[in-house]
Amino acid sequence: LCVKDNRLSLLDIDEMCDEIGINRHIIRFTSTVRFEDPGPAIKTAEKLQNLLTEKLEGWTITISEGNISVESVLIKVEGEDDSTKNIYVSWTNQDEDLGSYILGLLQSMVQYSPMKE
Amino acid sequence: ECGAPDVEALVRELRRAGAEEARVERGADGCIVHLPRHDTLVHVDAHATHVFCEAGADLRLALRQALALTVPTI
Repeated sequence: LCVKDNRLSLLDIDEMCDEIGINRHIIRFTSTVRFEDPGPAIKTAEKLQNLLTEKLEGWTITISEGNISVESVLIKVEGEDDSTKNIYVSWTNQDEDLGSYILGLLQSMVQYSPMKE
Repeated sequence: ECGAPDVEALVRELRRAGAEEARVERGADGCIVHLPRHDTLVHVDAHATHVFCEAGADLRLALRQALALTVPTI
């Protein structure tokens, strides 16, 4: 909330920083989950999207070119068809709760249960 | 956050939190703080700090606390 042109305005944090000439410093965390899931990486990503849709009811989850995003959380799957996949989970400091929840969810999924189609 | 962390202070805070192996490698556009025992590195430049953390939630919490103490805020 700020005063702009003698009026109270509600700005998002990026607009606010631009207005007052501050370069916002972004802090981002990335962790990796290794997952045995033979097949194309895009298929693994689609399964992850289904899992997240089930667990994060009410959140907007998008997938683009195999990359999943929820707010600032980005999930990228890499790996050859027949090998272990690396799942990179990345989030900004402000989204620590959501990011660490998703990371924990993927870690427990890999550890305890085979992924369903 | 409105600026890069004070890297020397960040290393001090990390060592205080138990990551005694923290060491800094400086480059042309910033620096990297290595925590090899924790399989973790922190890349710092003028616009962003990116933590690649392969350790558990405890270390991430320590990193967040150290960054909170060393990054300028409004």
